[in-house]
Amino acid sequence: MDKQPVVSLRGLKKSYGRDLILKGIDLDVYTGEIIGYIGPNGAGKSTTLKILIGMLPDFVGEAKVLGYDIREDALEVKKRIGYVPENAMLYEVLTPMEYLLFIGRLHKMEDDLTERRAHELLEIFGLKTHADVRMNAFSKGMRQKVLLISGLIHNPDVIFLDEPLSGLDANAVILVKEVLAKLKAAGKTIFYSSHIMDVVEKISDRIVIINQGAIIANGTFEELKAQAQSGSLEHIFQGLTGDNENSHRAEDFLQALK
Amino acid sequence: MSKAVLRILDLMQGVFRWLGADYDILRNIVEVKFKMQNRRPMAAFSHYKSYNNDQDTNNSFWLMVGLFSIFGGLMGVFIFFIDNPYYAYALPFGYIMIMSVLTLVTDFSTLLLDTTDNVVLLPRPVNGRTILLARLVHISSYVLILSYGIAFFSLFFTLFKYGLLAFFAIILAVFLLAMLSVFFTALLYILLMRFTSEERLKDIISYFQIAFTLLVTAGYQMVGRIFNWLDLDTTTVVIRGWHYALPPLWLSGWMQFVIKNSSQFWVLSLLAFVVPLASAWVLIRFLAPKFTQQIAQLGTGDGGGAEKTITQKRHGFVSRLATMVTGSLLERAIFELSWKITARDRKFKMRTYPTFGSLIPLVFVFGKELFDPQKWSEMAQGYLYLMLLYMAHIVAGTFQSQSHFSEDFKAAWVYFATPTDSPRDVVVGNIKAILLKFYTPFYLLLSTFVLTIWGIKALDDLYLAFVASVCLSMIESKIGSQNRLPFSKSLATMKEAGQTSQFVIFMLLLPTCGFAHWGLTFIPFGVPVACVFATFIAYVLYKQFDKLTWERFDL
Repeated sequence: MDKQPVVSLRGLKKSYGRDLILKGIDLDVYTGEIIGYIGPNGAGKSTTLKILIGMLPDFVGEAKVLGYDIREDALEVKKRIGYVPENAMLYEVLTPMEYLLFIGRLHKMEDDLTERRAHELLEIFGLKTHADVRMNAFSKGMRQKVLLISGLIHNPDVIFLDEPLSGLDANAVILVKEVLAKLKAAGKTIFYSSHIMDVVEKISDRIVIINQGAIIANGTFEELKAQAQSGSLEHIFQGLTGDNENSHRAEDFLQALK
Repeated sequence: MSKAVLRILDLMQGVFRWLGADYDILRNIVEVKFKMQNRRPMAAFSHYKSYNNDQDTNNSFWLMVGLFSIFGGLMGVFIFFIDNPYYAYALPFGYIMIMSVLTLVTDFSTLLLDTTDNVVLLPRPVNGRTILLARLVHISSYVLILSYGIAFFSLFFTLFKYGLLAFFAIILAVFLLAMLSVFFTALLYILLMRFTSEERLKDIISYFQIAFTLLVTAGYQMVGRIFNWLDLDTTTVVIRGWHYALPPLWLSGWMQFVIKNSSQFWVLSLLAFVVPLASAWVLIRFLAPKFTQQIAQLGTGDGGGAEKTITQKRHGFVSRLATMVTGSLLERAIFELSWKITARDRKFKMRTYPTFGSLIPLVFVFGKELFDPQKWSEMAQGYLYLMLLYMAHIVAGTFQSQSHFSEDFKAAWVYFATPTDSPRDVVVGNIKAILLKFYTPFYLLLSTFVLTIWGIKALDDLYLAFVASVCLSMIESKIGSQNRLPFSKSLATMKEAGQTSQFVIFMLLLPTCGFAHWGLTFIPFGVPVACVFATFIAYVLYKQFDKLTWERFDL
């Protein structure tokens, strides 16, 4: 494996107004890795991802993807990456096929190719019969599937996923997990943020925990386990993000009802 | 039709390439924008249409342009009737401008402020210039199609009456008008975005939408009368000072200048050209970059973003009022719930507030005397006000029937999870809230007006009409909407659900009550006796709610 990082962040800082959201992130990701990026709400997970895909050009520090500087060569980066946003944001008055064709054209793919891939991928996700139905009636899980396809349809080298499993049912979660493993085997790099600890635990090569805009842990699951002397990612997470008082809180909760 | 626009773009692709855009991608974005545009419900008519049907529209934009061109054609008729182009064109031009600005403001809130754009387009390999140009092309083709659509008939009337030269003059004039409309809209948006938050902005825009719907509803009734009201002297043309402040008049001045060679119109004509061109320059040079910047900021943040938290007081006037008018805790809870939701749900406001406009035509029934205090004594002879009072029920009825629908209809499960044996409190609490919040203040306002003109003798009539309206509301709730629970049905079910029964009430029961009331005024003591009787009926109807059981409802 060559040691040229696919994603490289140095002293990454980002603020909204006066709030400093990211307080200096240093991170390297190598080819074929699956990185699980976790942290409590508001820790800066989505912001990191948005910077990495070139949506937020206004940041401090250095950010490189595939050797390209994001500030200077955002287009080159965007050609080679796939991104699946949170919140299931897409043009919902379109049908999945129309939407995917649109996305394909943005990537300068031939319509035939897009259509063929879209067909197959929609079928795999069980949306074949919905290919030409407008998405405004879709459930969150169905939209999420379309978004997953739209993030992968141009066969990118690096894939950024922001809460990719939200709204998916148990079967779809298993399917996505398998797909991610296959993508890794095909040499793709995957960077994804999630709340679902046991999935992160199972599929990530490396886990990065972020809290209040700074990385507080970075290593394989085994390393983290040794470091925190604890058995599950949930416990490690709890220990590191400083939320030790949950059992007291549960006690207080019951008291308040009395 | 969208294809035609794309063809024209294809012809101009060299220009776009020269401007630094990736033409294939630009075309793709514009095509999708048009497709989405055509599937969006039209702001102006959403009030009438069911949300259900909108799912199937593929041509809503072209439909809207078609409708507007018919209205625009009605305005254009003045070109034939009035021989002075200065006056004749003022109305169609004014109409084009008002309509374009309002449509832009309302429709573009969904297009421009759509932060989905950011999420969908920004992660893709598309350069910023292409996105900007695609937006620009979309907006300008939208405005131009709209403006020329409204002007369609006027263009041909002009060709027919004044010949080819005037035809070219008006084509140019409409173009300038479109430029002005875009400028004013952009200015308005930038001001609003500068001084308010995103949420607040959406609120303000929804008020525009309400004003827009009002204008469309009341619009046709006004057209014919405007000229009577203004008493325009159509034989000689006078330019008054305030004319210089009205952009449509600049352009009608330009038409006068071209058609009649009237040289005193050169100042207006000059304005007609200089201002749009200058504004286009300002728009491109200063406003557009600022605008895209502001839009890019919308909703990109997480946590530190634009969402502003709104804190509400827990106890206030509403809870005190609720305690006064409700019997049980549950009823009180529902009362406060509908009071609050109706105040905060933007969609609800958009569906209901325009009904206040349905009373505008009445102004014309009363006529000019309304604005002339000397003639009030003449008016006070009749019983015209009864019409006003009964028409007012339309407001109560609309608010009430709309209160059953909500986007959050799924939240209605709470009623079913509530441990009560009778749904009465839920239904009654809602009716009380709607009547007290919307109908009563409105009715009091009308009453003050009626009392000023007709005097104290109308008091018993006011009482009777109010009680009648309350009775109708209860009947509507019972029969019309089968005691639907508040905010429990999706907007999609609105069409099939009880609109016909509301129609029956408005068209049959309401006039019957009104005419019966009118008949009573001819019988000595008819109205006071009826007051007692109506109060009794109201009481009986109210008691009927006690018989409600949960069996009749489902989620």
